[in-house]
Amino acid sequence: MLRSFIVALLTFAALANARCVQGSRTLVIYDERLSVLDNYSNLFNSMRERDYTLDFISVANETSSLQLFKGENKIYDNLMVFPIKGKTLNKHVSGKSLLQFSLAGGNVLAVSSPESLSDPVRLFLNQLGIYPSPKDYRLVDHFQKSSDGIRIGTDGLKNRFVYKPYDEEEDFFITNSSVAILDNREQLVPILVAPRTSYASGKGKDLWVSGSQGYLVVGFQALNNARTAWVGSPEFLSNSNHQSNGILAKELTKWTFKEKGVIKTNGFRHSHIDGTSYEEAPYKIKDAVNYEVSFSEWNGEEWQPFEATDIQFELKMLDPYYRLNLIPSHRDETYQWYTTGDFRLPDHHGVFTFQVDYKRAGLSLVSVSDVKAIRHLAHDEYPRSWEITNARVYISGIFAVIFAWVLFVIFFVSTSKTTKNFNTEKKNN
Amino acid sequence: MSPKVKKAAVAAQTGSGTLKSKIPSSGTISKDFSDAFNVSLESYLSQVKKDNRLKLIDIFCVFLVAIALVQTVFMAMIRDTFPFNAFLAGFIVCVGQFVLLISLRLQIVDSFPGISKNRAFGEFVLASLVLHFISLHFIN
Amino acid sequence: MQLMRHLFALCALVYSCLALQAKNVHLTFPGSQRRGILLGDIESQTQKLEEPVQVNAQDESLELNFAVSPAEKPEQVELLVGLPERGLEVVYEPKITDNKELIMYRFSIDVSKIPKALLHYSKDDEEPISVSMILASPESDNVFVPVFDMSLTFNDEVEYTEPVRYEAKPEIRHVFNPEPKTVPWPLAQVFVFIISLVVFGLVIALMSSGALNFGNLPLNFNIVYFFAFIGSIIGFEYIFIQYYIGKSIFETLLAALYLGFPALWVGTKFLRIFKCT
Repeated sequence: MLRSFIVALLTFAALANARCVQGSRTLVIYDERLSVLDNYSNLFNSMRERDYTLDFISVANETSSLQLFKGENKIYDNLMVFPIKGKTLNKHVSGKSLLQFSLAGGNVLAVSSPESLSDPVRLFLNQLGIYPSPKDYRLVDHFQKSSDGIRIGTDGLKNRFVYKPYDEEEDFFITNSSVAILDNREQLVPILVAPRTSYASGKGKDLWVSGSQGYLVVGFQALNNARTAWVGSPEFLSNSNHQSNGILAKELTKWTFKEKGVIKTNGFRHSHIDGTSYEEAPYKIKDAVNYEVSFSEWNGEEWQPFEATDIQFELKMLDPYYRLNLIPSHRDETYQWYTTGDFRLPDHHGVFTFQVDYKRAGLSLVSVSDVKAIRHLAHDEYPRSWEITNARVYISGIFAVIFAWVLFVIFFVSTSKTTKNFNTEKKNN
Repeated sequence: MSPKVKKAAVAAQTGSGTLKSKIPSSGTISKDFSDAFNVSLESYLSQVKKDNRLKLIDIFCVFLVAIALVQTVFMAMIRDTFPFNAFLAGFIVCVGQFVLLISLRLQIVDSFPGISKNRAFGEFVLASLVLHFISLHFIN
Repeated sequence: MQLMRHLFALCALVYSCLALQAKNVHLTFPGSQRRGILLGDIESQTQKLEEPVQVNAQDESLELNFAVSPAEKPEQVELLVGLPERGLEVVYEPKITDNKELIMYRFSIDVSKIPKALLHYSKDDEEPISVSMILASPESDNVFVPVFDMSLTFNDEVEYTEPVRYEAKPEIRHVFNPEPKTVPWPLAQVFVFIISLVVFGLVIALMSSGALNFGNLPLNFNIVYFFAFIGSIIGFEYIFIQYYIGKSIFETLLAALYLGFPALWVGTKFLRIFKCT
C-alpha cells in the first residue's frame, strides 16, 4: 500500500517536474548486436536527470510485439531509434506506424549508421524529405588533420534555435557517418552540414553527395509541431565523443523532445486606439486601431517571455493589406507582448483577418487569427456639404436658385399681363 | 402661336426670297442671316410685349443659365469633380428649374387643352418645391 | 647555417614530390572563338587567376583540362563552383581519360546548366562565381585552391524564384486612396460672390425690366390669400432648409404635413381668384 502510494507520488512528481512541454515518456529502440547501451550512458543519464522516463527495447531478442499505441492513444511521447540490423524492425514497427506516431504528435530521434538503416526508418525519413545515404556510404574528408574522424567547426551549425554555441572555437567530432540529402522543404531544419571538401561515397566509389550539400544532423518540424531529428552516426552521441559532442547531443535531444525552441501565445487583443473594443464599436474603414499578441518560450523549466524581432502581423482580405513588424511593448513574468503600434484600417470595407502567423525554422509554429468585419461609413458619417469648400459654391448656387424662385413667384403672381405704365411702354419701344 | 413656329415661318419666307438669286454670295448669306435674326427678334419682342410675365420668365431663365455656367466654370477651373453630388445638385437644380419654367412658359403662351393656366402655375409651384427639396437632400 | 638552408631545400623537394599537382591546367571555350587560357601547374599554394574569366553569354561553356601523373592519382578530383560566402556550391566531376603516362581530367562547365540560384545571386550581388579545385588522397599534401573566378557579364536576367522558407516577409503598408483635394476657401468665396452678384443682377433685371407693375394684386380681402400663399411657399422652403441643416427626415415630413394641408387649401383658394390669363 505504502509502496504503491510512493510510486504514485513519484510519478506525480515526475509529471509535475517534466522538462518537456509535451511529456517525457521515451522509448529507446536499439539492436544489441549493434549498439551497446553503456556507450551512450552520458546521454541517457543526462536525459534521466531531466526527468525522462526511459524504456529500452532491443529488437534483437525481443519477441513480443512492440507497441507505440494503445488504442488511439500513443504510449510514448518520444521515440529514439538506434541503428537496427537487417529487417528486424519491420516485424515490430513499420514506416507507416512511425509516421502515425509523428502525426499523433510524437517526437522521433532517429540515429542511423552507414552499416545499417532499417527500411521503416528510411521510409519515414524519406517522407519527411530527408534522404540518408545508402548502406556503406560514408562521409570522407581528405583535408582533415587526423584520419580517424572529421572535425566540424561552429560554422557547420545551421540553426541557432537548436544549438547556439557559447564558444566559436568549439568543434564537433564525426566518425563513420552517413550523409543525407535534403528536400527543398520549409519544414526541414538543417542542423549540422558536412564540410565543403568532404564527400560521401560507397563501395563502387560512386558519389552520393559532395561538399556542403550533404547534412549530418537534420531536424524536421511538422505542421502539428511534432519534431523529428536524424543523426547520421551513432558514435556522434556516444560517450567516447562526449568531450566534443556532448553539449550538442544534449541540446539536440532537448530540441527534438521539445524542451527548447517551444513557443506559445497567450492570445491577442485588438481594439480602437482609445481602448474601445470591437464589440463596443465595430471597426469602420480608416479607424485607427492597434493589435497586440503575446509570446512565451519554454526554457525547460518554465514559460518565460519570448524575445524576437521578426514577428509579423498581417491584415488580410484575400491579399494582405498590412504586414507589420511587431514591436515589443510590455511584458510580465511569462509573456512578452508585441504590438503593431497604432495603424489605420484600410479604406476598403469587408471581412478581414487579423493574423499573426509566426513560423520559423527551429521554433514551434504559432498561428493566431481573428476574422472581423470592417464596415463602410454610414450615411451620416460623411462630411456635410458645408464642410467642403468646393461644395459651398454649389450650395450657394442652390440657395440662389431658391431665393430667385421665391422672388420670381412673388413677382409673377403680382404682375398683371399687360402694363399701363407709360415708362415701360416707352422702354419696349 | 409659339415662338418656334413663328421663327420657322419667317425662315421659310426668307428662304424663298434667297431662291431668286441663283448664285448666293457670302454677302447675301450674311444678309439673310441678319434678316432672319431681325425678324425673329422682332416677333419675340412683340410676343414679350403682350405679356409681362413672359419677360419675367425669360429673365429668370437667363439667370438660371448664368448660375449653371458659374458652377461649371468653377468645376472646370479646379479640375476636380469632387464633391460630384454637390455639383450635380447645384447644376440639376438649374436645369430642372429651367425645364419647369419653359413648360410654364409654353402653357402661358398657349395653354394645353383641358389645363387652365392657373392649374399650370399651381403645378409649377408644386414641382419646383419638390425639385428644391430633392436638390437640398442630394447635396447633403 | 648553410646546412640548415640545404636541409630546408631538401625537405621542400621531398615535400613537393609527395604533393599532388595538376599539370598543364588550361581553360578552353569550346563552341566559341575565344582563345583558351593556360593556367600552368596547380599545387596547394597556387594563386588563383588574377583576372576573372568573363562569361559573355548564357549558353557559353568552359572546359578545364589538366593531367596528373599516375603515380599520384588522387582519390578525389572535384571542382567546386559557387558562392562560398552564401554556402551555395555545386560540385563538378571530371571525365577521366587514363593514358599510361598521364591521367587526363576534363571538367566541362556549361553555363546554362549551372543552377539558376548561383547565376541569380552572382548577378544580383555582382559577386563572381568562384571555381575551386580539389585534388585529394588520404595522407598527402592535398590541393584545395580557388582556380579562377567567373564574372557574368551577359545582360539577360536570370529567372529564379527563391524557395519558400519560414522567414519574415517584407513589410506591407496599405496605400490609401488620396483624400479628395479641396480648394482654398477664398477661391470658393470668389465664386460664391459671383453667384450672389448674379442674383443681384437678376433682381436688378427684374426690377428694371419694366414688367413689374403689381397690377395683379387683389385689392380686397383676397390679398390675405395672396400673402398666405406666398407665406406657405416660404414656409416650405424654410422647412427644406431646416432639413438641410440637420433636422431628421421624419420631423421634416411631419412639418411638411402640418404646413401642407393649410397650404393646399390656401393655394387652391388663391389660384381660383388669381388671374393668370
